[in-house]
Parts: sequence; C-alpha cells; structure tokens
Amino acid sequence: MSAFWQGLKSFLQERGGEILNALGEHVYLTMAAMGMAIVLAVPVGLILTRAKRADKVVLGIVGVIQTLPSLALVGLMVPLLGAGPKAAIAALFLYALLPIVRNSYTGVRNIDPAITETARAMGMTSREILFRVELPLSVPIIMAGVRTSTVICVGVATLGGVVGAGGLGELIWIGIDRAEDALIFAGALPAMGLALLLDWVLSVGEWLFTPAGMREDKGSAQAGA
Amino acid sequence: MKMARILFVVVVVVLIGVAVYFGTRGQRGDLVVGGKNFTEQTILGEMAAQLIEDRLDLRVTRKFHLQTNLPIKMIQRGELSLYPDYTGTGYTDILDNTYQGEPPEEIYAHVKRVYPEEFDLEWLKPLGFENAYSLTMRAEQAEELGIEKISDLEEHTDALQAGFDPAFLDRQDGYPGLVEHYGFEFETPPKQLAIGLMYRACKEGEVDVIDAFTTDGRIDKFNLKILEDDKRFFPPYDAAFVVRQDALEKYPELRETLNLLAGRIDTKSMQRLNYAVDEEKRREEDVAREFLVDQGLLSAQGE
Amino acid sequence: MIRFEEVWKVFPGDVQAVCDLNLEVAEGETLVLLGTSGSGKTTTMKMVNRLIEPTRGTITVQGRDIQQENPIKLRRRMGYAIQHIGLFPHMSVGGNIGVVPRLLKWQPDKIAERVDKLLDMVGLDPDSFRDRYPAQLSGGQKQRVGVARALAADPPIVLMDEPFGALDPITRDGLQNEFLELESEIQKTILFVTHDVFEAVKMGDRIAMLDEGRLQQVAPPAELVEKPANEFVDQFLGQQRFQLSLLTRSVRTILKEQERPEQAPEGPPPEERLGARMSLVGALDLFKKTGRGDLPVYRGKEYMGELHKDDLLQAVGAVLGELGEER
Repeated sequence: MSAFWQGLKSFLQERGGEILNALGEHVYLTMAAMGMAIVLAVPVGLILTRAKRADKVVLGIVGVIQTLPSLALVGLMVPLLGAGPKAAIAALFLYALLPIVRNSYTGVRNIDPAITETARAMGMTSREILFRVELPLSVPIIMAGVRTSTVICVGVATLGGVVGAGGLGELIWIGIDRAEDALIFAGALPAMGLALLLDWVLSVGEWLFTPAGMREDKGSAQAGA
Repeated sequence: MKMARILFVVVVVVLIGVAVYFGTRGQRGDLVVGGKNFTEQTILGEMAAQLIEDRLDLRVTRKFHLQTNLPIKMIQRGELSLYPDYTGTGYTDILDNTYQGEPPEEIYAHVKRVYPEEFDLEWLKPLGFENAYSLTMRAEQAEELGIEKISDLEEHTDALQAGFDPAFLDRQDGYPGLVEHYGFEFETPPKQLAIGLMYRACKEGEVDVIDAFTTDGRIDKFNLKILEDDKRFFPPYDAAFVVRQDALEKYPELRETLNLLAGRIDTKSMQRLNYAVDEEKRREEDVAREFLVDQGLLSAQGE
Repeated sequence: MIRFEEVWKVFPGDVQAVCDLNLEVAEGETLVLLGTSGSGKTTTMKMVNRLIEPTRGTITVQGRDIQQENPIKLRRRMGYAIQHIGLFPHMSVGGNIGVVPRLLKWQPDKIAERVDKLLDMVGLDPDSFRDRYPAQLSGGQKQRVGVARALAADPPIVLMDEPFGALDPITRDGLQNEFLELESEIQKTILFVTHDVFEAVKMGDRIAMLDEGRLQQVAPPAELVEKPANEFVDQFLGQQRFQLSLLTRSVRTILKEQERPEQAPEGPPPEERLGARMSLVGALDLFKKTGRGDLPVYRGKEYMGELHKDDLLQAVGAVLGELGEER
C-alpha cells in the first residue's frame, strides 16, 4: 500500500504542474463558454416569455442542439473556428444554452398569474415588472439552469483534448494514446472534482440569491400561492 | 447573509481571473511550438522549445498532442510558429503527390521548394533520421509464416488481423494507398487503434500487423519485425522542422538555432529517446533536455 | 367620478362580454357590480384601469377620458385588490404595501410611516407583521395585507374583485365588517365586484346588476331587493329576497319618533345596543341573544331612543306581507 502512496506522491510531483495547468485551462474553457451562454441565454429566455409564437420555435431549436452528440458538435466547430480552444468553447456555449434559456423562460412563465396581473394593475411598467417581480422570483430556477449547464460544460470540455483545446481532456487523451492509465486518471479525476466543486459553489449561490421569503418553500411563487 | 453573498461574488471573480489567465496564456508566448500526438513529436518539440528559450531568451508556448492533421492547418493560421514533420508526409499527404520511388534527397528538395510558395512555410535542415510508416508484425509469427516483405502478406490476408491508427487508415500514404499500390487488402477490416496502443496490442497478439513508426523503441524491445517495402510504396520520411517564414524573419537567429540539431539525431538515438518515454515512463522534457546537454547545446544548468 | 358611456367590449371570436354599458359611479360611493360568471362584471372593472381596453365607448375618470391618459399613471392612482391577492412572495409585508408609494417615489420615511398606519388600519400589528413574508401569513392576513396594499398610496378610487372570495365564511364576514368600518373612516370611491348577493347588499351603496354583459338594474340595495326591474333580477334574488329585504332595512327606518330623553340612560354595554344602521336581521339577532323586550338604539355615541321587540316583529311581518303582495 505504501508503494501506492509513494508512486502517487512522485507522480504528483512530476505531473503536478501539468495537472494544475490543465485544470486552469479547463476552468477557462468552462467559464468562457458559460459567461457567453448566460449573457445570451437569460435575456433570450426572458424575451421569449413575451413572444407568443416564437417561444416554441426557439426552444425547439435550442433543444435540438442538445441532442447532437457532443463529440460531433465539437468536431464540427473545427472547420469553422480552427482547432484549439475556440472550437471547444463554441461547442460548450451551444450546449450551455438550453438549460439556461429554458429555465429563464419557465421561471417567469410559472409565476402565479395573480402576481403579474396585480403588478400590472398597480401601474408597473413592463420593465419594472420584469426587474422587480419576474426576475427576482425566477432567480432560483435560473440559477438551477446555470448549475446544470456548468456541469455539462465541465464534462464536454474534456472532449476539447481531441481538438487541441487544452484542459483536462488533453491529459485524458494523452493517457489513452500512450496507454498510461495514470494520466487518464490525472485528467478524469480533477474533471469530476471540478464539476462537483462548481456545482456546490453554484448551489450555495442559488441559496444565497433566492429572495428571502421564498427559501422555505420554493414552490410558493409558482402558480398557486 | 450579506457577507456570504459578497464572498460568493469574490469566489466567482477569482474563477473568472483564473479563466482569463489561462485563456490568454497563448497570446503571451513569443513563439508557439507544436507537435503531433505521439511521443517523438513531443520530444523534438521540447528540444526546439528549450533551445529557443535558452539561446534566444524568448517565451515559448507549447501545443503538443495535436491530432495528426491539425498542425499543418494551425501553422498556416498562425496558431503555431513551428513543428516537426516528415518529408514523405509533406510530399504525399499534404501536397497530394503520389510517390513513385524517387530518392529521399529529391523528396526533400521538392518540399523545400514548394512549401514557401504554397504556404509561406520553410523546411529547415533534416535532423538526421527517418521515421517512416511500416507494416510490422511479431517476429516470431513472421518467421512462422515465412513473411519477409509486404508482398508476402498477400497469401495470408485471410488469416491476419491488422490494427492501424486512424491517420494511417485515412491518408493516401497510408492504408488506402497501400492497397492500391500492392493490389491486396486484408479480408477482415483493420481495427482502429491509438498510436500508443498499437505496439503492445501487436506484442500481445490482439492484432497481427500494425503500421509501426520505424523509430519507435518498442519495435526492438517487443521483438517486432518491420516488413520490407519491396514495391517501394512508402516515401522517405526524413524528419525536419517546418517553420513559418514570418517567424524566421522576425527572429533572424531562429534558423541558426534550430539547425543546430541538423544531422545530430540518428535513428538509434531517436529510438532510444522514444523508448525512454514510452516504456521507462520518463518525461519528454527531461529526456529532451538530457539529450541537448549531452550534445553540448544547452548549458547544463539551463533549468 | 367614473362614467361609462355606451361602452362595449367584444373579445375575438365575437364574444360580447360587455354590451352598451351606461353607468355612473358617484364620488365616495361604493358601487357593487353584481352578476354570475360571464356577466361581464370583472371585465367592466378592468376597463377602468385599462387592464382591458374597451372596444367601443368612452370611460371617464375624474372627468378625463382614460384613453387620453397614460395607463401607467392611471393605474397608480387606483387601488387594486383581487381574490387571489397576488402578494409578492419575495417582498416582506411592508415591502408589498410600499410598492406603489415606491413607484411614486415617495420618501422612504414617509413610506414607512404609511405602511405602519395601514397595517394598523387593517388590524395587523405593525411590529409583528411589517417584516413577515407572505408565506408566513394566513389567508385572512394575506387579504388584509392585500387591502392595505391597495390603499397604500391613498388612491381616490379602489377596484376590488371578490377580494374576500377565497376565505371561509366566518373570516369573510369579519373582514367585510372591518372593511365597512374602514370605509367610513376614509373617503373613497369603490368599485366592488361580486357574485354573492348578500355581500352586494351588505357592502354596496348601490348595486349594478349585470347579465351577459348588459346592465339589468342599478339601484340602492333596498330598492333592488324590493323592486326588481325585471325577470332576471327577480330570479337572481330568488328565495333569498325576504332575508335580503330584512338586511337592507335598518333599525333607523323603523324606529318610531320618540321624545329623546335629555340624558341617555345608564350606559348599557355595547353588546346590548342596537346600532342605528344595523339591519333588521341584526336586530332580531340581538333581541334573541339578550332576551330583552326593549333595546336602546345608538347612532355612534348618540342615543336615539328605544326599540320595542314587538315593533320589530311587526315590521318584519310587514315586509313579508309586502313581498307576498307583489308576487
């Protein structure tokens, strides 16, 4: 057993820097994609709540993207954007869209109509209703969507190794190429760890930014107060 | 609560910082050295990188483990400054010619002439060895079946299982071209294997014939036999660096520095270096550094 | 205060929700819009603050055509309380109440003051309830907050759509009474929608009865109950008319002229007093409870005389008789 730990120690000493680098690159790929996805998806989701017919169409399109096999999507980006991080980020971005768009949309849609009717009747402008009522009430669901997307990103980002995007995926692929199991784990385990860590951090964030008064009973704003 | 929220925001900002740092690293190097996804490429790339860092005092970004067909595309787009390649690959796979038995010097001369015109890229001096595709089998099986050359395989296409890496299965200087040239193919379609897995797979009998790279140290150690290319299908694959012309212009001493390696690496040496990494599990950068120091090209304390 | 002139509302599919409505709501009065589902009562109410736009006709509020006004500004001048209340779950009670004042950019301390005052008015202790969240309130408490919220910016007009509908009868009764109390303290024009004829009779100064979008009758409760304008109204009142009639007549109307003694007799406890405005039903109730033959009548603090039980019973009988005759 101690041979194992010895081996692990020396492995980490040797490869530690590489692993940390790969981890950092992985964070970069994930955050870049998530950043862009959030900036686009949340407004789109919110706008869709006001678009009577477009909503089904757009949700449908984004949903279809989700069904594309991830390796295929990443690969498809290469002719367009060249090999490297850009291709990976583009693919991650597309994958991150659906959960966020859908949750932004349903978050607002599922608000008890009495609430929005009253808000309107009290003389709030459409913008005021959006920012003072609909958004705060949807934050928990939107954050849940962000969490889902982030975990997806960390996972799919491992495919970046195939197209020269760096990240932990690269370690995994080298390990496969060279039949070096240790490398495969060196890539896979931190990837899992990263996914769990980010998920946890975001769940804390979700809790923190849920408006007070909605914590106990997350369902209360959603139809049927 | 407020504290907790602030803390959360701080964490997110830190993550963003990490992301930005790693995202912009590529831009911070002066030169980018690339390498394909097998050991030899990484070793050669490391040699180039370390030479540049030590002698030219420039920052080098490394992009190794790239899928075989990516570097030529990336270097044209400026994502790489240089990478090691092989004349035969340049001649057949990239320039799309058919090899007809010309001697190695001619192949080298051809690519040396055409690359600047076509791609604004230059081939530097040959490093001193060739790393060719080959068809390779277990020595003992080859003896048993009386197979010495590739043509001999024709009688045994029904009994043998081939295992090739994806690039070989795709390239014109690979399996498709070979089938055309020699006029036979394996009855059972070849399995697709990662380059690093081929050698062991052959040794252990999972597959019988592989497209071993001739400088791989494992051929010797695993008791594998390279079959003679009797019909001269495979072109010569002399190794040399391919560099962007603008990089050469920007850093006038780059050419000289990289050419220090010209002719210094023979086949045996390359095999030894490959083996050290593949089987002895040493790190490519250490192996490269050791070689450079031995050759007196690096100051010993160039850490 | 509010005037409907030839107002129509037709929804897509040729659904005629409101047909040729002509109605006037006087300042300070509580007008009840009474009818079954689909009678157009809610639609009518929602046209006043332009949540629904009329297809034809004009609605004027405080003399101005509402089409000429910015709907947002219009709505901020009107209180709005509905059956499902619609409290904002992410805001505290105080926050909810303060919504319109904040929209109107009142000073924070003025808002805080107003919030406390309103909580008090609706019978909720400010200190306990100000910072609570809707999820922590009972149905009745939520309704009270809803009312407080509607009154927050002191709007001249208040629109209420079955505001007490989601409550159990006892709570509803209590809230109705409290609201009537409240009403007497504040001067507001109230448009009140309900399908409950008892509620209508209790809460309204006048009742406008609607059927399938058309106005059937508009009259004070007593008149509506005793002189229904047509078959529909008659049927709507149905078997309840006797009780309703008793409800719409007050003690004051049957109190015989008496010499008011100079001084009120030794102050009987409030439970044994008849209010001048109390309905005959209430009076019967009190006689039964106290078992007395006479009860004093007060209007507020003012002593108005004694009512004898026999006189009451006679009056009740007379009502029955009248109703019987008209059949």
